[in-house]
Amino acid sequence: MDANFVTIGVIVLYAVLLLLIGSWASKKIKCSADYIVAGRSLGFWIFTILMVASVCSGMTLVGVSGFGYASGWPGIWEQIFVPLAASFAIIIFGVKLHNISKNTGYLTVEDYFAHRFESPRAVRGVAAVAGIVVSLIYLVGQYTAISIVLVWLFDIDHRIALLIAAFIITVYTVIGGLYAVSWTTLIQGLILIGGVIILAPLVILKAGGLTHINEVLSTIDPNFVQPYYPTVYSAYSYCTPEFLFSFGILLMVGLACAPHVVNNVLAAKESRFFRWSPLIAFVIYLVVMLLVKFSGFAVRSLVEEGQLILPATINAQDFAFMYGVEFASPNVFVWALFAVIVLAAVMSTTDRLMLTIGTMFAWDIYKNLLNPKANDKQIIRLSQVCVVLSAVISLIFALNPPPMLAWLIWMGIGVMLSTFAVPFLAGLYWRRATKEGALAAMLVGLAASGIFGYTHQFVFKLPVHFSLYSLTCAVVAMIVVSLLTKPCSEEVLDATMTGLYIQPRD
Amino acid sequence: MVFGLPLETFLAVGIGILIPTILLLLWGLRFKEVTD
Repeated sequence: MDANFVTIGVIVLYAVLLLLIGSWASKKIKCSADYIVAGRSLGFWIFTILMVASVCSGMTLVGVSGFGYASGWPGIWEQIFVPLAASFAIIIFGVKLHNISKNTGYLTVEDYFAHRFESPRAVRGVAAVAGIVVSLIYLVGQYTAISIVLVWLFDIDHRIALLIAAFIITVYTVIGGLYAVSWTTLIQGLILIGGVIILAPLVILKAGGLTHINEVLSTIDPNFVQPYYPTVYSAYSYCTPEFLFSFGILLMVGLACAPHVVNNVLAAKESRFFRWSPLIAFVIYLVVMLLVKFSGFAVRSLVEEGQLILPATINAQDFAFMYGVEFASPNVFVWALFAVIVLAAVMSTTDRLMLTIGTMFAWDIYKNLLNPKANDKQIIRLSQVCVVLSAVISLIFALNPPPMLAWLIWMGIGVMLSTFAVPFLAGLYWRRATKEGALAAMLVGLAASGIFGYTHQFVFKLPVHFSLYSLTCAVVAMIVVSLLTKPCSEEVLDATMTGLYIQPRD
Repeated sequence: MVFGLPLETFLAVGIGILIPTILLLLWGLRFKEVTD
């Protein structure tokens, strides 16, 4: 699609709105807590939408439709697992963490790790470094999604596209911290939800409705309309029952314990929000995800019938939804609206990730490990520098987009799952978990995810997602090392509400 | 066939959506509200 006046005008307006929010938010920043957790002031809806948007990512419009296009109905489970990640994060991690932080004043989950495992340096340091590494991997996936969108929108070189997007996101994140990220996310989330509800049905109807689409899919491959693939017989048929099992754990637990998702619970104003936010986040995101997935099916059906041709690129399926909308509605105002929706989806996770990386370095590594005397101003400044650096580093990697965006993003989540899930779950729910056990679980999980990820990618295909193997290694490391080492003090275990319960017992 | 889908696919996906929805509803109903 050629760049046109209306689309560019609408996008410029959108960018100006984001920058204005950043400028307004910057006036509210008085201390580190304002910058990192928005002064713990997020209301119910802004918190719920922030959780949805942090889980959502560039996958929602670009990757989900691409995955639907390539794999059909056996991949539909992703659309149930991912919305559940927001609910899982709130219920399993959020309720307890928020309650503990009322007395302890945690700003990051690394603060919790340091306290729970009585390890102000080692566990905090490893958790922060691992968090930065996995967030950067994930961030590369997000910038790749942004690049795909902008190339399609403006028909320009993807390097220029990336630079423009990164500049806008970086400016408002740097100046406004979590205030800016959460308010821009509210706007982006509402645009995304409303836009998908309006546009996806257009694509589905243009392709002849769901019944017709499914009939066409079944002619391409009868397994396209089955709930899973019986065996792996081609590049797209990897959603076998055993793979789906590992996929469920990967998406529900892995995304839930990702630093940029779980840190949000510390910014909620009141713990009573956690009563209905899990259900509301799940339902809202489920509807959006299913509609986008069905659009991917619709585009596959249109391509099969010769009505639509995708670009001849290696990652053609990632363009499915965009080409579908373009085909379904030639109205220039619809394109402009759609352009903003896609940008909103990919930007809403990118800003949160960049802020998380900045926070982990400035607060967890610099303030708590290197220079405890650092004041609020120095922490905020350093965090801002790290936000810019994280954008630069991930941009360099994103300049060569991978063949399928979904794989890169799943790899990032896989590393998060292997590294953080075990120390987090064991820390909250198992009183026998020790500092040495947590360190072993994180390091073994990180190393094993590298080994199994490499094996799957370059040596031979594993029957399940590589993260299930590395998660198992981390569980074994946690149990064995914890049982061999000295337990944490009862005082700390009580203060961190450690035990097999979610809410405080009477 | 339902919406062009085999019945087992329709039922599997339907149940897959219904179970978490019911569980989350139960969570909300049983949530113990603690005043901050």
